[in-house]
Order: sequence, then C-alpha cells, then structure tokens
Amino acid sequence: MEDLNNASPRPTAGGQTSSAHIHQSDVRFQRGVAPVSSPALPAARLTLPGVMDAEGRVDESRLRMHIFKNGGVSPSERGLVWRFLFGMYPCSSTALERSLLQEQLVERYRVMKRKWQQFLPSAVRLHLNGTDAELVAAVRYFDQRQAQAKLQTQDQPQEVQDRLAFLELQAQILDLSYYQGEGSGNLLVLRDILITYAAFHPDVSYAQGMNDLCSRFLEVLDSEVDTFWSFSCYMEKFSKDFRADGLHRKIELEAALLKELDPPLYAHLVTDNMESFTFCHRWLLLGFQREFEHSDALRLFEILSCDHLELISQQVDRARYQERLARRCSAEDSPKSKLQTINTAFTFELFICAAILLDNREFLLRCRDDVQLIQFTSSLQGTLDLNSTLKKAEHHLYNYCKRCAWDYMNGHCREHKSKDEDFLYQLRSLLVLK
Amino acid sequence: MAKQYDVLFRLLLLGDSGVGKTCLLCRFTDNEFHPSHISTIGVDFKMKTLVIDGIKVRIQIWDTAGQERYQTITKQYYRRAQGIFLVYDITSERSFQHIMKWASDVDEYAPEKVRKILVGNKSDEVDKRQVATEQGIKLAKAYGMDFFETSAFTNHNITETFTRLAEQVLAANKKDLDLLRMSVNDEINLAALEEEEGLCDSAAGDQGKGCWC
Repeated sequence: MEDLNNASPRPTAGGQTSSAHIHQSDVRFQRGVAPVSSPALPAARLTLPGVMDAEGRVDESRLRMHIFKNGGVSPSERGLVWRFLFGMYPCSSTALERSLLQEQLVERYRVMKRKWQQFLPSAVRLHLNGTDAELVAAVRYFDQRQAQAKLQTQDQPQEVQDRLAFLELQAQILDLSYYQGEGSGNLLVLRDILITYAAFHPDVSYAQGMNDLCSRFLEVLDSEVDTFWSFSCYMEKFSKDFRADGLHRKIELEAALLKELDPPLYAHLVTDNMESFTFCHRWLLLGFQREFEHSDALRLFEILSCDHLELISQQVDRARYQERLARRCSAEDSPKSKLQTINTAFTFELFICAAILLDNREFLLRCRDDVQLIQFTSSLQGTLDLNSTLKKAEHHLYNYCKRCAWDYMNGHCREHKSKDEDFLYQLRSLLVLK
Repeated sequence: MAKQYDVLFRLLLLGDSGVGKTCLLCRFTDNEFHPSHISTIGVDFKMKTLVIDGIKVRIQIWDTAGQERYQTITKQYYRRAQGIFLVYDITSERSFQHIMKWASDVDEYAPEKVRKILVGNKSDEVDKRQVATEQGIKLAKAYGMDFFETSAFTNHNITETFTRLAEQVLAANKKDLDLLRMSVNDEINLAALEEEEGLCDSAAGDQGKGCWC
C-alpha cells in the first residue's frame, strides 16, 4: 500500500538521451528519390542492447520499452526499428526469414501496383501540379464502370472492389526537405503508394491527412515497398479514424478523458458555440504531426506507436479481471464489482492532448467560442516542447490510473482483505513505472 | 479602447478538395500564393477587415476540408455562416457538377437568409479549361447568385469576389445594422435616460410605492 502512496511518477519518455537525437535528426539530408526496396535491411542488426538475438529475432516488449524510456531511437536506427515497430517485419522472424519475406513483399507490391496501373494507364505519367484533368477523367470512367457493374447485378463484387479512389494529392508536403529538389520525385512515389493503398482498401480509400502520415513513413524508411507495407500495417489500426463515421471517435474519447481529468474545463468546452472539441481534431488524427518541430514530431509518432503504457495498463486490467473472475468462482460472492475501471481506450496520445489542454487551462477557460479555440490551435503550431509535454502527459496518465486503482482497491478491500498479491504486484509494476 | 470594426461576418468557403479554397483565402488575406499547400484537415479560418460604405466590416472566413467524409466535421460550421463561397475549379468538370450537391447541402444546413456566390477558380489555366465561363454564368443565374472567375495564382478577381459577398451580407443585414446604428446614436440618449431613471428611482424610493422594481 505504501508503495502505491509513494509512487511518484518518474517520467522517462522525455529522458536526457533524447536530446542527442534531436541534434542528429536536425541535420537533414538532401536525398534523391527513394529506392523501390531495401534488400540489405532484413539482415541488418539493431544495436539496442539485448533487443535482438543471434538469429535476428527481436524481443518486442523490450524494444517498445526501450523506445518509450529513451524517448525514441536514434535517427540512424529509426528505419530498421520502424520496420519492426509497425509490423512489416514480424519480431519473431529471423534475419534469414526476413530476406525471404522481403522478396515476397516486393513482388506482392509490384503485382498490386501493376493492377491499378492497367486499369488507369494514364496515371502512370500523370503530373503532380494541380488537380489533374486526366486523373479526374479516369476516375469518372471508373465511377461509370462501377455504376454499370451495380446495374448489371451484384455478381462481381471483386471487380467493383478494384475501383480506384480519387487522389487529389497535390505537391502537398513541400515543407520537408526530403520532398524538395531531387527528392521531389518522392512525391510521385508517395502518390503511387497511396493509390495502391486506396485501390486495395476501397472501404477506406484516400482521405486528406493520410498523405501527411504516409510521407513520414517514406522519409524514415526510404523505400517504396517498405513504406507501403508499414503504412498498411499502421492503417489496420487507424483506418477507422479516417472514415466518415470514425472522424469523431478520437475527439469524443478526448472529451470523455477530459471529463475525468478536469470536469470544469470539460464543462466549459462542451458549452454552445465551442463545436465540441473539433479544435483538437487535427492533433489527434495526425498524431500532432503539425504541432511539433519536424524531428520531434517523428520522435513523438514513434513513442505513441510503441504503445508501452497502454500495454502495461492492459496487463493491470487483465490481472484485475482474472482476479474478479476468481472471486466470482468462490461462490458466496455478490457479483457487484461495478467499480470504475481503467478505460483502455484512453491511449497515451489522448493524454498528450489533455496535457496540452491542461497546460493552457486558464486561457481555454477564457475562450468564449470556436473562433478563439481555432485561433488557439493555430497559435500552437510548431511551438510545443516535446519533452515537457511528454512528462506532463505521463504524469496525467499515472494519476488517472492511480485514481482508478485506488477507487477499485478501496471498494475491494472493504469486501476482502486477502489474496491481492498478484494484483498488487501488477499494480505496483505500473505505478512504480517500469 | 475603440472597436476596430463595426460589424463582424462569418463567411464559409465550400467546394471539392483541390479547387483552391485555401489558396483563394491566402491570396485574399495575406496576398500570398503557395502552389502547393498542406491540405486542410477539418476547418480553419482567417480574418480581414474591409471598409464598405464607410463601415468597417470584419470578415471571418472559414476554410473547410473539401473531401466528402470531412463533412461530418465541417457541416456543423454551416449554421452560423452568413455568406458562402461555392468554389469549383474551371479545369475540373467534376468539381463544377458537384456545385449542385454543395448548394443543396447549404440549403439544408445553413441559415435561410445566407448569401451565396459562385466562384470558378484557376482561370489562369486556360489550356486545361473544362468548364466554359457561360456554364458558370448560367448556373449562377439559375441559383440567383453572383459569379466570378478567379485566379489565386495571378490575383485575378480575388478582392472583388470577397468584397462582393461581404457587401451582399452587409446589405442583407442592413436592417439589423440600421437598428445597431440607431442604438449607437441612442446610447447617448440612453445614458441620459438612465440618469433620469436613477432620479426616478430615488424619487420612487421616496414615495415608497408605485414602482415596478
């Protein structure tokens, strides 16, 4: 119990080692167009201590913990790390298996890309400037074809699925050096990746903002094929947020979280004319990619993607669940454990957002309409300090978990005063901060 | 501190993604043109003050993401708009056809007396033109809107377009505004009245009855 009391949050994600990373990644390289694939990487070794075994298998939880504790990895290692982190390379694979896998992935991507290029031959030589008449015409052709297919009967759903999405990918990411000068060809690469993704995921297709995220992958992985697969893995988890019915998901969660953390601020932000947290939408959809300085934004993307805290809090939740089950089995128990549980949908990024809001609490409380809120959002672009934001977010997350745990423990201890060891151990491991 | 403007209007830019809504806005408010920009996620806005008939009109122009799926976010901004730009790209037939859809959304979600104006952007791209000027004129006429072809690139008709919509909104709100003006004049009278009321109050207090307060 005392442990719980004294468990002061010791934020680590913004640790000291990270400052060195910032300087390194500030040095931006003027590179040419990304190669299609990177055949040397399957055999490359991670230098992080104790993460990779002799055959090249990766200890996933250690990797994730490492990323979190050190506030990201060094830019030189980032490319390889992301291939594991996002799941393009299974962590359980050996270097040998990966070289085979790499060949397969290259081939599969080639086939997929060729498929849409056949359907849309003019897209192969499209130019990037402006909305393209050819592309628009081609898309209209596909729309008509789809309409016809619908009319004919629904016998060929697969055929319909080949419909291509409209991509209005203008040269949109020119603020990054990776896409300037000789690198401007990378915009074409990016477009091919996004079209391929959209073509084979008609339910998600293309949404504004995906280009922001995908460009991060391309810049870090510097390979067309690897970017496609890593981006696809990422989208498996987050594509729902890019669909019309999912755009509100994260802002609703954020509102729910703020209701827990700061009820008065929440109440103020849900009043009329505030447009219910819409001002946070871009932050959450794009993982704060426009709010932090570029190299910090990459680092944050990496930290958020390692899900370290979420995994731990899930462990705690599971332990509690098992314990509850065990108690229910012991007959005479009344099954009324309706105590507040940790909401595992509250991911770390929501706490990052909350930290920013709470940091500006007084200002937000003075805002009287959506105009001031949007102005507030714009004023923050590129100005936030990552390390201090991480620390505060971590602090809020621990406090939240601690409070939930306390509520639970209080209720629980009134009924039972024994056999909490396993649960306590898990809790301690969370609160004392691994 | 003196107020920096007399009236404030909310205008909204609508139209397909890539027609140049953000570029129009940047040209108008900052006189800048970026051939490539970061796509608008959700909504954003910029402000500018115009002087129309001696009235300082502050316009707040809301920029929206054009993609259909973002409408779940952007639609909530329609209801407080007083003027709307319906923008298409003269090099994109499709964006022109979609104006009807945008217009019907406006009918559904925006206030009844909202003023609209039709804008065909990218008029500098003569070689790629797909929508004739006459088509624009015809459509605008059918909807009872004014029409401008613009180019954010060459700064053609930009100020004219924004000013025209602001004028129309101003005219539509003229009645309210006249009332406002009167009340400005009345302020002096009102102050005098209040003084009188004060006197009245104390008098009423003295009398101890016959007062509503």
